[in-house]
Amino acid sequence: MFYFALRRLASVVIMVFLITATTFALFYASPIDPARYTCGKNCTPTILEGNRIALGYDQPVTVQYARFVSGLFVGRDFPDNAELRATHPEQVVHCGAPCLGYSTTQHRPINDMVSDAWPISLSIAIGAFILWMLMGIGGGITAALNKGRWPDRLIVGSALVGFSLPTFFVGLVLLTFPAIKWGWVPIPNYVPFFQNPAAWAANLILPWITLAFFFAASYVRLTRAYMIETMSEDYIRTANAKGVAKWTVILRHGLRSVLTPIVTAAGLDLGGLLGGAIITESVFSLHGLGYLAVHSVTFMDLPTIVAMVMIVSSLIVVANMLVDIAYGFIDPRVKVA
Amino acid sequence: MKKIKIVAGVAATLALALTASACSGGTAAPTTGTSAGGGAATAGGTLYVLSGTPAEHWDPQRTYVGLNIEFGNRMFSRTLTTFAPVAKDGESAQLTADAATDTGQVSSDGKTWKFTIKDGIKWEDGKAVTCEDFKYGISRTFAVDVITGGPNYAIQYLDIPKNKDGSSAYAGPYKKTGQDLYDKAVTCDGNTITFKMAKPSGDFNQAITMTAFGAFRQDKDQGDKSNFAIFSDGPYKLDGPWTTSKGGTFVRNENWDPKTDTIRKAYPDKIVWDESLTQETMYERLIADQGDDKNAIASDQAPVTALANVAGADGRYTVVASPYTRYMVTNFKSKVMSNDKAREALALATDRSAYVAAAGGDQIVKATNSLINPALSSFPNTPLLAGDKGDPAKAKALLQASGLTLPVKINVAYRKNDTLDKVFSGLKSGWDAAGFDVQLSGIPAEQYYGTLQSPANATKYDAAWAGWGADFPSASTVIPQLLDSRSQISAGGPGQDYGYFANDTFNAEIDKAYALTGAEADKAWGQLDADAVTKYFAVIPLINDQFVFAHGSNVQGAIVNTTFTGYYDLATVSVKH
Repeated sequence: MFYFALRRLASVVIMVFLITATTFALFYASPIDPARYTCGKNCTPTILEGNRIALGYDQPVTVQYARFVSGLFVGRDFPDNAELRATHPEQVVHCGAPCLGYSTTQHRPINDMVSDAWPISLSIAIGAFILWMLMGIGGGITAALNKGRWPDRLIVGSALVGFSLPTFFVGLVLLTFPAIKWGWVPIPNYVPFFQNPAAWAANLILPWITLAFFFAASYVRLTRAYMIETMSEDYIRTANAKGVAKWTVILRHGLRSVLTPIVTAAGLDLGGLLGGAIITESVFSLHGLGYLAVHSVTFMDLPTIVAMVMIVSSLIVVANMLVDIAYGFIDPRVKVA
Repeated sequence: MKKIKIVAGVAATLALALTASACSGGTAAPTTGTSAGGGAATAGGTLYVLSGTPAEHWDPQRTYVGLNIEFGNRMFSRTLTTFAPVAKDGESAQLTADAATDTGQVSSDGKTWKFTIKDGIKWEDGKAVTCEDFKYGISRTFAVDVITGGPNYAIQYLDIPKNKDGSSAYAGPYKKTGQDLYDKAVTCDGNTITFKMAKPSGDFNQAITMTAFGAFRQDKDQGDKSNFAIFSDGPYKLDGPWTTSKGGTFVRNENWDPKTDTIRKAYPDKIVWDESLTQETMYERLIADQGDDKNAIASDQAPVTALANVAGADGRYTVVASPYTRYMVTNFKSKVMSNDKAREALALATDRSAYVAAAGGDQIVKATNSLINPALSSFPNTPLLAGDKGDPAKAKALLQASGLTLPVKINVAYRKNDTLDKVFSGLKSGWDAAGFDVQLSGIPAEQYYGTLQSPANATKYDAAWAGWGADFPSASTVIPQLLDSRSQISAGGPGQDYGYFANDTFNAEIDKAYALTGAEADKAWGQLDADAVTKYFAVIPLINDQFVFAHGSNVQGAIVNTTFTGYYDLATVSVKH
């Protein structure tokens, strides 16, 4: 298992570097001139060139990428200008390793921005994950046990509605009515968990519901389908015949064998969500990693775009790896080849 | 059908509001929709500023967005002169002394301006604001590879030579290249600062209302690190850090002396700036008017999606003319448009009523035939050549006399979005009816101006859409910025002269207009506008649009100062508490 994890980790590192190199290449293949974004309204060619120098985009793309990679290992100074370092050291920002870069729109190291944003994305993802797993698995089991009857139809129908409604719509409805118009819950504004756990939950309940409503739908259908299949297996009949308690049969024998596909899907969904729930964060004005990604793309902030691509891709690949490792614990029959 | 009903409802609501508050006289033609939150002003309390647009800069020399110039100036960055608050939305504001004792002394040749800085103005640490602080602040604009994004009027106005590539021979206070040149152009004698102009400049005392001409303390300058590090000489100072996409809190600056300041009433004790919102959310909250939002004002204009509901903010919203003019440029480098009659035909066949209809009706947008915005005193109000529908028949006759073979193929560029797709579909019909064969090229917003400004595309488009608003209420920030080939066109591209219009006679008239002041200057700029539109057909003005703002029910004195920047003027805002 250890060597398996090590091999997967090495592939993660290679993959992340390939992704960042591709992001750099794509950025420079774009017809958009990022220096125009910072040039101001009355932009002349000479001032545009000044902006290009200030942003570091006057350097060849290979030099920029090499600086980015070296920053990850040894840190960097911004601006990376020896003359300025000597004459005006107060203007130079040092970003320690692993340095993700310096945002050209927020005027601060990206590490600081990510430090501010990740607790928000983590809070949204974890809360929503718990909610959708409870709703999805619980709903799926209930539907499977009541196959063909009204609880089954109600749950499957609701799941279909949940899956059909886009998150921005559900989010806007929840924000407009329970929060803004009726005042039942606060208008979401992130409060750190360790500062006030109750306020943390109250401020995040609407984003959690929004995401859970969407994600739970597929888990209901997944759990229901596998549970129906499993509950008709011989070993379940045997357990029932032996007089094992009903819920022990359902949870220990039935659900356990259903968990493998559910964990696979859940791992990937959670990994993606940890990188930021772009639409939900935007609707509720919560500035997590998703918002940061959108902001960086909107304003052509290359260093932040690259950092976000690296973080999000790493999270997904690592989540995939953890899912593979988890198989061994869920199902002892699974061995690492 | 539902969509039509909503649009009709918005139009009707706004029409009622506009009719109820119709105002006479003046050039600004205010279109106030509702009250400004009347009642006696109350000192104290907390004002919330809701924003859907994260500030790019608070560094005074880098601030170039109207709302940030306005709010920055009213809170923490005083300028030598400024525009006084007004009593009603859209009313014309007077140029007034701020940190200076008066609005400036200009030499008879218009090439030297002097200002004396008031005694008693202090930074937030209690040190006096000096002439040297203003001189240093303005010098930062020249460091174009560090202090990016700000207006470059200092480079344009001051008598400092240019290099061959058009850059200034002075490279700013960090590299100090050409420092002696700057020290000759800007001098301090005690509290008096003197500026030497490159050419006669009658409106320099208006240009310096921008915070780019504000003071900056050298010992507080950290280059890019100073972008959000606000150091105040106004009534408020930043309490804690400024966080992009979240905002910050401003509290009273105890070293601000109201005796030195006739502009800022500074009623609230605290101003909480929240820029974490979307524009849609901020307007939903303002319309709902719950909790702290009762003490809130909008920093941004309402998005189109909020217009249908803004009537819900009864008595708390305002409709004013935006500072922008949307127009077409004809490309003098194109084979077709270098023909005088073809340009005139295009102008004649332009159906502005199609633009107005597609963009939301005549309560939201108004047809114009002037490049200068109605909010400026130099607005010439040039009559439409053939009504708002155009005259395709007359245009066709012109085109037939032009020597070109009909149909005349032209490629028209516009910034692609849903509204402009509809607008240009309507405009195309008019142009096609006149004998043009229009190919529309919708270009994504983020690439739009870059595409027009690329020398590689110099002949690609025969005509193109554009938009512009004055930086301060002088047409010198409109006509030269858009049509003076000497300052705009270079090997690197056309600047904002997207149609490569280059006319020596026109440029000479620009120089004359610069030297004039007051009504004479207004007349000269207005004539240049009319010439560009009706003599050279270099531009075809299309429409002026409207901005809608809203505020909470406890807010008083929320008045939009269209002369200054076109946003709520913080100088007079107070909250009931």
